[in-house]
Amino acid sequence: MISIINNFLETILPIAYALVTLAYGLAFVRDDAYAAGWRTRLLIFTLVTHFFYIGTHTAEYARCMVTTPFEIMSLIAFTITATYAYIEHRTKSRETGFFMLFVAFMFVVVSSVMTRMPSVPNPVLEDNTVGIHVSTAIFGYGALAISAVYSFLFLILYRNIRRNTFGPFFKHLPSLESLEKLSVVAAAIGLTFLTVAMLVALIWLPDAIPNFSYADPKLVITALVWLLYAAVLLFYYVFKIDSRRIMQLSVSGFLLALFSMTVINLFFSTFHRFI
Amino acid sequence: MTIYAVGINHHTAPVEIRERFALSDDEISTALRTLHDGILKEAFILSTCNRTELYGVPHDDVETDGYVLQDFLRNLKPEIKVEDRYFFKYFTCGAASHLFNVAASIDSQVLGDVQILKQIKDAYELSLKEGASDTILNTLLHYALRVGKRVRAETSLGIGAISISYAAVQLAGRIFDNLEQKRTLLIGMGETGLLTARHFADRGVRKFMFTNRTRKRAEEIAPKFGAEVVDFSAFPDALREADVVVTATSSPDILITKAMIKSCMKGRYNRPLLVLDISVPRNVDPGAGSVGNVFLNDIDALQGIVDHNISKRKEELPKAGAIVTEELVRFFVWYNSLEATPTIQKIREKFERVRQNELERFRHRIDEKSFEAVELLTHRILQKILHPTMRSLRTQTHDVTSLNMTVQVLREVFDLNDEAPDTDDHHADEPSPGKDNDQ
Repeated sequence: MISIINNFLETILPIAYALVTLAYGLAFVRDDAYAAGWRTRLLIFTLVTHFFYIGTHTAEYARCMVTTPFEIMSLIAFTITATYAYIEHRTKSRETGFFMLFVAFMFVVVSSVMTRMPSVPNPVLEDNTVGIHVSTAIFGYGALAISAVYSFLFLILYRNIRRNTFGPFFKHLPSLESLEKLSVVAAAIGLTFLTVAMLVALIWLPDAIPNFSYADPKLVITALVWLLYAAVLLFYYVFKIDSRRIMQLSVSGFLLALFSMTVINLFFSTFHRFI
Repeated sequence: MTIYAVGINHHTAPVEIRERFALSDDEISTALRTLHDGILKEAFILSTCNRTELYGVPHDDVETDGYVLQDFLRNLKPEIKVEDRYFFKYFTCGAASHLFNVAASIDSQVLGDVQILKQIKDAYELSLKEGASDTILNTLLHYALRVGKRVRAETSLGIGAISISYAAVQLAGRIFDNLEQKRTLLIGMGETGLLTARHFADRGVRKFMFTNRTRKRAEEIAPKFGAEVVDFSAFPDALREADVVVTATSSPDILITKAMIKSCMKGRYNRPLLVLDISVPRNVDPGAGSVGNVFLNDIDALQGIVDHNISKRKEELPKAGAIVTEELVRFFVWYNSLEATPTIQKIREKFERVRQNELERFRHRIDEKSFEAVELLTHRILQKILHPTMRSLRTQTHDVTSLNMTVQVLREVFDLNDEAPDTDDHHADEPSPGKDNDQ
């Protein structure tokens, strides 16, 4: 029974994300009143569906959804969507929804297409420390994704204003200053969680994994991501360089994190694969 | 029973006529009293900088027509020679449609003008205060106000800046978070510059620095904005403190160079700087826009915002037009029902009279208790007979021709033509606009 429900939710989850992203997109680009009226309801439906999917998935496999990077992607998508829903509820501002949900949608699509279940769970995952590592990493990457979306929107609006293009981005988005602040705050939160995730991993992994290496491509890229976001905060709070450069750095950091989650995990030999 | 709308507006008369023809509240009150005591049963006057319009329901459609009202309006300002061609005249459907278009701000010179709805409300209150408007105009105005509110709520007709100076504020709002906390440097005390400063002040900006070649002029205006006056020779230093710089001078020279901007950006730790060059010829080196975190916009760029917003507003016109049509239909369903109301009343009265007469004849033949039962029975029978007829009349109010025919048939069938209809008593069947009535 659980398996049937899980399969059903797994099928409708990307559809729900596609619909909610479409609704926010139509409301943003075309000022579509019908889409605008439905978008928040669809958002709640998507969140609830995702929540139950996490539950049924956990129940079916009798373990947390942390075995593969694609399961983690699904959790990151949930984190982004839940964070966005909270921001929307608090600020009543729906202008950035399309972009946030588009990123979450991409995570869900990749996660749904690529999910493969290991027949025997890796014993490393039975260690309790993994819970701290994974949950902080998920919150960290979720926050960095949000930071990157705000940075991306900043860059679009910046370009629009400099080029005197006054389309939907100019009309709907929050001010450049707001986007910059939101991006930097999200980056600071993300970096904090990522730091904890990395520290836990550095203490726990050398003993837990026999073939552990500091030169592992996953570790190297994650360290680079950490350095990029540390630079974002340093340039913003200390050196006060041109905002555009800071935002470009934030987007680059997230793209690198995405590269680490997908390409490195799929095509490079790394101890960070549990399947 | 005709509704008239007569007046002048920006479609029919040039500004030099309109501005002199505008009426003060006192003049409107006097005019309303005169009209109400004389030729009009109901009257309402709307007078703004762009229109002076009289709406009225005359006591007598034959004696009072659009020309009489036009002459009345003209005589309010006898010193101005207003030719006939400057007046418009609409009747009933045209009048209602015109008022709804005005309320929807479709008819405004500035499409989507947000002021007009309040101006109609104020004019209506004045009309109520003078006791000049009654059932028909009250209902018409309720519907008009509802049109205005719906257009505001359901369309984007009033959204976006449509003047250069206001576009500057909109642009600043897209760059800065708390515009209220930002410092604005105004270079040049010309009309456009001051208008821009006023828009910034309306948006909550309180920190102004003013500079002008003639310092005295800046000193005269500064107190109105609580602005600090900066010596013209020292404005390059003030650039460092400002977040928004507005240049609006008649100088033919470049006043702000790229080097000045570069130097000031170092001193302000790369905080964003918005430079609005609304001078012609331009006062800011166009190259200054290439400096990081500097947003340089000249008058053409701001005009781009205005043009974009105007085209967006025009896209909303069909939606606003649909609202006007919808409310016009609703209004005329009610308005047409006024034709049927006296007939409905006469039929009821006639049947009731017959019932009462027959009951009186019957009264002494039965005891009191039985009489009450018979009275109740006949009342119910009467209601059941009349109900379909009344319902049929009310459902035909969307089609005047059909309604008039039915009314005529009913009057002949029930022999009501000898009895003059009491056309004044419309109140009983007047539908209220309900929740939207906030007067």
